[in-house]
Amino acid sequence: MENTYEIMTGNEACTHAAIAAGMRFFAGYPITPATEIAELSSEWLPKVGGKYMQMEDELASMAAIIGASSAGAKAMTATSGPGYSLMQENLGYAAMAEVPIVVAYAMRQGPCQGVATLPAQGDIMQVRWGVHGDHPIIAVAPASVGEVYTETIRAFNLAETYRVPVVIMTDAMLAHMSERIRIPDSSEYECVDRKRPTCPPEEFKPFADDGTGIPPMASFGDGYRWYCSGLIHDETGFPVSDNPQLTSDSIKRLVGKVENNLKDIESYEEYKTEDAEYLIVSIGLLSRSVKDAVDQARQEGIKVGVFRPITVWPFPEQRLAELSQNKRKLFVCEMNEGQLYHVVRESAGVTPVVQITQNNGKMIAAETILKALKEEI
Amino acid sequence: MKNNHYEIRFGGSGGQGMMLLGDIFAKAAGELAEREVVLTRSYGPEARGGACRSELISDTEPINYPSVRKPNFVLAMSQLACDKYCKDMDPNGILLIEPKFVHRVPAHIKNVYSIPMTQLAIDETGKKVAANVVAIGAIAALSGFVDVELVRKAVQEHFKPALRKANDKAFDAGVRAAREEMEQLDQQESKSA
Repeated sequence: MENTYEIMTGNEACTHAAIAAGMRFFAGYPITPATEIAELSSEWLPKVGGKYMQMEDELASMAAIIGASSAGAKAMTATSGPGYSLMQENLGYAAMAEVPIVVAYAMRQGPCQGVATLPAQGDIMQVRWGVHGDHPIIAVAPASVGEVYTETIRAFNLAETYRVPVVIMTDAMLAHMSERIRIPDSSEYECVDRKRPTCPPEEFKPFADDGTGIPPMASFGDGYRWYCSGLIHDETGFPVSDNPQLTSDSIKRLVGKVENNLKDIESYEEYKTEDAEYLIVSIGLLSRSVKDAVDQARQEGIKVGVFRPITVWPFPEQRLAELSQNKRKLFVCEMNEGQLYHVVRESAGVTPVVQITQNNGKMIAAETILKALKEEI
Repeated sequence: MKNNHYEIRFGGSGGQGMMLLGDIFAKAAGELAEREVVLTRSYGPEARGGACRSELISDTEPINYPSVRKPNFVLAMSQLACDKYCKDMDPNGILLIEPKFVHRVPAHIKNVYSIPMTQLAIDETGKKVAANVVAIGAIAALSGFVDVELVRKAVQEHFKPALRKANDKAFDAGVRAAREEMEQLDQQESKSA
């Protein structure tokens, strides 16, 4: 296998990989630090027969990619905090109508407009619960430009497999920094396409469970008729408002698409955890700083390791619970006021959990992490 | 800090080509020398005026922390950049300044090289816009963290062929000036020793 290496930014890698994964439609509205994904999509998509649409805002962007995906195209948008907020209603529609979509989300600092150019991790909970109601969502948080590439491909595959929205969470720093990455050959990965109906069109029930929990999906225009609704609906897709059993079953099936397939969806990295007495949980680019801190701590004889969820949602609770059992303390290092902390506490059992946070738009330095670690052990 | 770990910061004013310098050295160290590289840049209005910078880390090992923390080399193409970007320098690091724009250097930095890059660009190519290519040559020779010829190749591959002759001249002028400066410093040091 010939190894191809290139130097690219996180946003370039995301766009490049999305096209490699089969993205043929992008709709978006520019926002720092995600703008380059829209810009590059506008340049590259037409060259592969794809379409780029510049939308008037983020509500329309989300609506457009849902429409494109319903017509059979693999579709993505890219945004940051304020834009993601505006996308929520339609994002819920994608979850409810089971339309596969991908959102590239470069996190920036602070609530509201915040600081557009600085990285943060303040949107971990928004990604999970920005949409109202119980709904399935998958979010991956790559730690390097190389991983942005491979996780973007995985994001499309997960969206297609489970018919759920998938969010690729980066931050302002990872989005804009360049690294030397290996471009995987197309023979090294699979591009998953959504399951299609095999029955005659007149027998097609668009939301009938075929036993997997994930109904086959027809594209608008290929002869199968389906009613696409954000209301609770029956197998035909038509709204039903007076059936408690169906309401409950529908939501359980939607949420179950993720909950019943954790083994396939969840992914995480364990770094020097085998003999660790302490464990630091951290996601994304920041986890690399944590690794530096762990290396330095180990030189001083402190047995510490890193647990890095790559899928933030679903959070790999079970694995963390196993790892927590024989630890003296867990630490959660994150660039916010404490979000992942609460999720980690749920998995930690009786093991104490300590926060290491810094929320000023700067990557937390290894020295700061090491100091905080030493104060607690 | 490991010997193969090198941190370099290119500082100047928006429009002086500091982003390009980052790209060129990332290409030389990453693509051509096959090392790990992380490149970060100023983003925002400063890229169009005021002090702006790009920063490169090069290593034979994977790079964890992505920001430059203790630069081994700083280029200052403007006074503002010099004031802003030298504070965290490695005390044994190298500071390269453009004397046309930089008139004060921090006292704590020992290895200061002053090369009239803008003037050399005008002398060699007739265009001051080539000052950043002179700087590339000078940095390649002074820093030594990546082979000078690989840096030249990165410059050649970046620009269209029509600019090759002028860029080679600018690049060579930078390399030459840097080597002369280094020799002079060596002589001064051996005299004082």
